[in-house]
Amino acid sequence: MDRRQFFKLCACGATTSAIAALGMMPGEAMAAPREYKLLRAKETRNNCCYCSVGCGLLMYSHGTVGKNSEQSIFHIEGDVDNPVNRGALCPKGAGLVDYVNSPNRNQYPEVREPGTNEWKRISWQEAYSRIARHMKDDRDANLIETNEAGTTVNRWLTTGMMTSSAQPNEGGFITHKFARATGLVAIDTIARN
Amino acid sequence: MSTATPSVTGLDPEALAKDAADVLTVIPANPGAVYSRRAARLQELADDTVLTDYFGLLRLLTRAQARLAQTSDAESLFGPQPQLQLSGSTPLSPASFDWGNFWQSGLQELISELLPLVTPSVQEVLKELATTEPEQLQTWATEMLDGRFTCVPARFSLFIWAALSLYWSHWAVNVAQVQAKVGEGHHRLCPVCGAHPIASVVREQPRQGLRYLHCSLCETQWHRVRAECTCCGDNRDIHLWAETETKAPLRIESCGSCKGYTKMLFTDINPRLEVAVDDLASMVMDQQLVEEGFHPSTVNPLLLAHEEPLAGEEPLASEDQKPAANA
Repeated sequence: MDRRQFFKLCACGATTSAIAALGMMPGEAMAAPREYKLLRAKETRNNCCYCSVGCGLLMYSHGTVGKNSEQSIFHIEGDVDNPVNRGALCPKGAGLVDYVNSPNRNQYPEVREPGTNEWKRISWQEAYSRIARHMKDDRDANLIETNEAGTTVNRWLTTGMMTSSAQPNEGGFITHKFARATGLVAIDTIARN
Repeated sequence: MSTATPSVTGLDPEALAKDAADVLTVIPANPGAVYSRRAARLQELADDTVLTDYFGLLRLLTRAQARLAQTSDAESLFGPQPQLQLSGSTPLSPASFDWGNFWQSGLQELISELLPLVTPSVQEVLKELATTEPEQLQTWATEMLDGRFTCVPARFSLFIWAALSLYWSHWAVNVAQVQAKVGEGHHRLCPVCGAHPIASVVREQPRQGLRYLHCSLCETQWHRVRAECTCCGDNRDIHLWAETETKAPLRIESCGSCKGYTKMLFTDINPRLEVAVDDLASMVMDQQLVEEGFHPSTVNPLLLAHEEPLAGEEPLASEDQKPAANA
């Protein structure tokens, strides 16, 4: 018996079983009442991206019936099969479902200009341009090209970089290469938060 | 960084690594305790079910199984220790060893325990079964062990499987203990005897939340990673069906890829749950899944629903049995 079979199992399947053959089917119908309806949730395995430990998660979401319907995560718990966290989560991980559904989440780039206290929505293109402009200006002004002994060092100490902790090796490699190529010394991941 | 200092936090890297690797992959059964627990749970649910008569019969049957599993005269009931290839996979699968006909002495014992307690109509069935030729019984046992339940008269299947289960669970204990030490995992079918599971049991111990599949034949439990189809191993389209969003003690895990489903019993939420009894008692849940086009990939020893041929295969059921199945 080295194969999977499917079995007829429901109220009608019971008619082929011992229950019926022994004359023990109940008089009243075994069918579920009309209002009986099970809730359906999609179960997905994932990793927590809020620190470099990368604890395993099981996430439960609604709304996967239609392709265009919005998915909403309503419950997240530690993945007990994960060899790292074995089902446990830290306080940050235990609050994940609230981050996901938080009304305060950033959903688009915003800027608060010097001298104002208002946040202004900008496009991704504008955001990238501004970041690049700031980096270039700061680097041009503050890059240390040589030390006292005249050796080339190319240090850029006035800017730091906070990177994602949820990257694979390749992502980490390319991030590191980019930052070091510009001369950045202060690099860290959000795992330190 | 010092590696030699003893850990004051309890976070000793070596101990942690060892602990993480220690997922108990196979949990051997104590057959007597399993059957007693099953009988007790049948009693508990007797008032809640519409299958009152059937639950009563099952209670008598599982009680008899429990008594026989704890017999002091195991030699006459289970025969000599069978020759097993413990190194192979599924050492106790029907094809792997000569299982003989000692299960039939268990069947006769079960019948004689039940006869004075059951209704006249069930007595008739039991007497008929008791006087069936041993060769015929052997044929039926082979059919059932091969998963061809349609080939066995439905009025006998419950008792034949109960006797087979009694025999297999007795010899499975040692095999499962050997396999537990090996620590291999991720089987679809029972690693001891190759039978289908009854359902998933999510346990409090050895680690809260681990999922074990419970064997329908030898009562062994084996570990299976959660959020993966127990039937085809796919993990892309897994859905859980339950009456409440969280903390539901009974859920059904369905797979959109193979269209199979497996019931999950969370004994860490409700420790009273018993895998075979509560699976049977919650058949109303199965109905919705079947209506949605899913099929169970599990066998319940207290129900033994008929199997469906796999796509592209000849139907196993003879034609005269089919209308009953579709009625």
